[in-house]
Amino acid sequence: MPSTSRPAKGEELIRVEHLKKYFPANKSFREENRTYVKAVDDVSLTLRAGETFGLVGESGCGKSTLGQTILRLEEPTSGSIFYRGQDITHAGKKELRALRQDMQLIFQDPYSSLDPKMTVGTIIAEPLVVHGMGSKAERDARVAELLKLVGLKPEHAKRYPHEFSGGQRQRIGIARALAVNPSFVICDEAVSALDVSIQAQVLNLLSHLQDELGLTYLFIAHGLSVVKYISDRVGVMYLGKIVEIASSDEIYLHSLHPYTKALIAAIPIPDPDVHNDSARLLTGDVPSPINPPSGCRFHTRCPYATELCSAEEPQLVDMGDGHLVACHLAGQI
Amino acid sequence: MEDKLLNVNDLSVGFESDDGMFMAVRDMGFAVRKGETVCIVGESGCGKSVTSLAIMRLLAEPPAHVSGEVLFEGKDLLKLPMDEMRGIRGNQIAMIFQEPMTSLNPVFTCGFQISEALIAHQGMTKAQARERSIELMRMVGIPEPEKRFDAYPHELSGGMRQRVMISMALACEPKLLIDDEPTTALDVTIQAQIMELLRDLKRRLGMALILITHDMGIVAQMAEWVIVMYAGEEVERADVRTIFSNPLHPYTEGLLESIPRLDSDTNKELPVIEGTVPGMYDMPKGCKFAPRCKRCMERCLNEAPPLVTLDDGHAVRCFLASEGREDSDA
Repeated sequence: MPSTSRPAKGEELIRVEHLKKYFPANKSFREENRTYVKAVDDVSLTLRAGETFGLVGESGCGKSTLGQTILRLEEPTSGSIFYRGQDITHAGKKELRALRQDMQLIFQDPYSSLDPKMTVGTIIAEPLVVHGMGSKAERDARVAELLKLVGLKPEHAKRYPHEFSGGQRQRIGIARALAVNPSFVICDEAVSALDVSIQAQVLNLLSHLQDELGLTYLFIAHGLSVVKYISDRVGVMYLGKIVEIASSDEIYLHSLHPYTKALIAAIPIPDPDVHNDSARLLTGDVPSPINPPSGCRFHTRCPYATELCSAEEPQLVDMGDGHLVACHLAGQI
Repeated sequence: MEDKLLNVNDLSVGFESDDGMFMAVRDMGFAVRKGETVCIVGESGCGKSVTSLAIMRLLAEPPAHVSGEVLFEGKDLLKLPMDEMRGIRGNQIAMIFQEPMTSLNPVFTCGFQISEALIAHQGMTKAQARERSIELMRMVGIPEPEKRFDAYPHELSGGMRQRVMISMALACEPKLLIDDEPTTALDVTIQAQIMELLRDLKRRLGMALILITHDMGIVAQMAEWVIVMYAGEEVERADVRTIFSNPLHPYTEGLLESIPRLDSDTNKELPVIEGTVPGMYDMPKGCKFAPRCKRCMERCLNEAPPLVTLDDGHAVRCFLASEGREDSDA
């Protein structure tokens, strides 16, 4: 059972060790003929209370699966997950339900993640009902409080999702996630579907809420500039593996992995006089996660790849100050 | 003027609804010169896609009501009979749609869909069209085009599908290419590849480009002229350097400030434009942006500002900019 006290800032909140999640790609009877999509392949990670960890990568790199596996919405294939030091990899149904009061998820699409037939009040109160928290009157009061917290009005509780704009709906999704007073929230592409001006509003709201409620975020997104803005530390994923972890300033100023460098180079610079360096553009597509390249998974698209890269898989190495990178050539390029 | 390829004058688009006419686009006017890139920027629902669909005459009328002029090489597209329009559409003006995942027909091969335009507009035989299609696919960077010709859309990744869309649009070497958010559904690295490809094609084929986007980064990298739209109206129009260095409309300013940049200070709060875009039935009486504007004055609430052209073609729809700016907080 989760302890009732709130985690103290800096305390280890989530630890993931050698986590793997494989999805079967065919259903062959013989084990040797089976193939798997290696969505998450040997990921280790520690999140501390009060921090925001940003996870970036292209579609299909396994960033959402990693988030869902941490919440045990997907069963891990192997590896272990710890929440505040307690192994939850094999936690039973009852235990999980109690745990999920502490861990919540904000979804990407504010249009499909709210039930159109439920009023906003019912949507936000649902987690409270599931977890048996409060009487009807207490829940109504909590809903009003939450609506104010995310910048909406208490009278909005009686309305339906279609009456709101995308940004407002995302605020409703945030209110729902915060209803049970969690300490850990996964934001899975929570602002990707929003317009820039609205995106900025929601990002500011998320960081206010973090200060106010002492939340820990795992912020999953494919846009590096957004992730950098909100995160304390950033992890970059490529084909199921984390290839680099560093503080958000460090990753922008001194990225060591060629993939991270390419991701940064690919962001269009909002300045007509500074041109993107087209020489650093990646060519080709992400290879299939069913049969990832040997050695370093990035070597097929890496401009610096050597023979060693295709033969041997690089491990995450600490280059100092918690800057981890998995590249044979780290520091040389 | 001689070098103007497309001239849009007073273009308005309204949609019939149960509650009366809803104006999606009001009095748009802009020009595209040969070989030039014009970016139309704005948030979802501001009418930027409707504008492009109206130019292509792809809106069903009714419910849509299109008025104004769209002069393409001097001919008003809005007055052309449909069969003549069909001869221009896909041939001289082509369009790339927003979602590569849903804009291709899943039951035909990619090659067939590219060849279609060649057979229809250029009278090629099937074999000639196949050869040309493969050439086009190679040009847009699809590896092994001979094999991909017979592939169905679901067999390709998002980036590859977008390339198929582009080669379809380029099939007849159009003079004008309209791109409706060509990369929003794609990853950054693929987006960068597609942008590079478009720049390269523009250089080689000398076509003009209308690029619809909400990413100011793409605007900075691609555009020569920029049109900023808000709630169905042009609010600012200028060359790309002016837009970035001297934005005059508070909305443009807000848009530029609210992008999280890689080099921005992460400890500072992101500047935001408060509020949301007004709904279609509760449009403000005066300036459409007034309820969200930091510099809103008494007058803005009651009176709609006209689009005023300043020197060097910089046009703004704001009282502050057009009648001398009283900068209180600058």
